[in-house]
Parts: sequence; structure tokens; C-alpha cells
Amino acid sequence: VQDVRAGKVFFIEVAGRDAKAAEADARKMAEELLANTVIEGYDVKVVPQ
Amino acid sequence: VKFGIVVFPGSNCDQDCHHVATELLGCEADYIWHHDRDLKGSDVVILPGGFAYGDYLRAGALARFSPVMESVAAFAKAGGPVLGICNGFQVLLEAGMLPGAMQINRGLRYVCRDVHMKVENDATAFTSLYPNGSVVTMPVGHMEGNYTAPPEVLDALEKEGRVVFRYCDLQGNVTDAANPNGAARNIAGLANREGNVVGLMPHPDRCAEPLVGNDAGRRMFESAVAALAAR
Repeated sequence: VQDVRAGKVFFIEVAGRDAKAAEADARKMAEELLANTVIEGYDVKVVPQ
Repeated sequence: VKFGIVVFPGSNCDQDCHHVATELLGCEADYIWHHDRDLKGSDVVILPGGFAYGDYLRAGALARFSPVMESVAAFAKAGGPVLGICNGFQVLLEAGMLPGAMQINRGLRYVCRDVHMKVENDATAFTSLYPNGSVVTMPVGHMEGNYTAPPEVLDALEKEGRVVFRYCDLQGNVTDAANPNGAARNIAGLANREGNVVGLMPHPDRCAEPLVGNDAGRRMFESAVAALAAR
């Protein structure tokens, strides 16, 4: 084992948005609240349902 | 002089601050509910310690969206003195009113004890009565006091004299052993460029009268009163 890291995962459901808009929403949420970008990074994945 | 003490859901040192302002200093003070935007004519604003919004997500992360914070930011921008104590400091960081962020303490444990701090900037709105180089002892009680910022930000803070307090031993030596939480460069307290916004992890509100065995914190509140009188 070379490294271990624990993080947080948020599952966010959005309705009536296409994948691109949903991703933009999620990135805004991550940037403004969900991640503190001084100490945390984030990654967004859109999963259509 | 009137102190405005912001109360978030979960603040728990608001009454301590109110007690210092009114009973010990003989000033006026009012509580400001976090949903209000009116600072009620306050001359000094304090963000007290506690667990605003239960510290959910991260300490201070949700509190910074409270309506009152827009007013606090405008008040600070106009030069009004703002002090963030412990959780209040964490709120100032999350709100971007001071740079950097808090991580969980080195050692991953809650730290609750007295710490010593070296005063490095006596020109802020809250430290004029603590001479530079003096050592002040105050209690801490926190889980996230491990201050961090990118190296270039830390360098800029040092260069601009914005490190207000640094953890040290009783003799004033800034050592790793005297650092209770792993904070970068032993930083215990910071100021903005103008010196009117100050945040620190230790609790001046919990050591402001001989009754509790230490009155070192009282001068922090008195400094604000003195700074306003000198205007």
C-alpha cells in the first residue's frame, strides 16, 4: 500500500436538466460549498437515469 | 461602544462574549441572530465560538451562508472591527474574509487546554494592548485548529505581518512541541491586511477575569474599545 485517502461522496439527483447543465450545477455546488478548495479537490460524474 | 455578538444555531460562547463586554467592560452589547441583516448599530462585531450549524460538512462551512454574514462582510469592508473566536475564526476562513483553511488537529484528537502565544502584530483592532513579542496564555478547545494555506499565501501573510499570534512555549520560543494542533508555522491567529478583521483559535472570552484564574483575554476586548476611542 502506498497511500490511503478518505473522502466524501455526495449523490445529488437533479430533474429536468441535461447532462451538461447538471454537471455545471454540481461543479458550482462543489466550488461554493461541498469542497473547500484550499484543502480539498473534487471530481464530478454525471450518471443519467 | 456597542458589541454585536452574532448567534448562529450552535454558537455556545455568545453569552461569554456578552458577559465580557457588559459585565467586565461596562459596554453595551446585543445578540444578532444569524438570520438578521441588521447589526443593530454595533461598533464591534464578534463571531463567537461553538459549533455553528453543528459543524456539518466542515466547521464554518454552512454558517458563512447565513444572511448576517453579508452584513458582517460589508461592516468589515467599511473598516469595522470584526473578531472571530475559535468557531468564529473558522467561519471567517470559510467566508473568505481571512485566507486559508482548518484541518483536523494533528493527532486527530480534540485539544482542550491552555496554550501560550507570542504576539506578533500589536497594530490590529484587537491587539493594541498586547505588546509585540509578549507571551499570552489562553485556553483552546477545538477539533479543527490545524491551520493551513498554500506556501505562497503563508509567505505573503508573514511578509505583510498578518500573523497576529503564534503558538509558543512559556518563554516565547516558537517550537513544534508548543504547537497544539499542527497549525502551519504555529499560526494561532491572523488578521486581514487592514488589521480590522482578526481570527484566533484560543478563547479570550474564557479568560477575561481573575475569577477564572486568568484575565489575559480581557485586553483583546479592551483593545477594540481603545481603537474605537482613538478614531
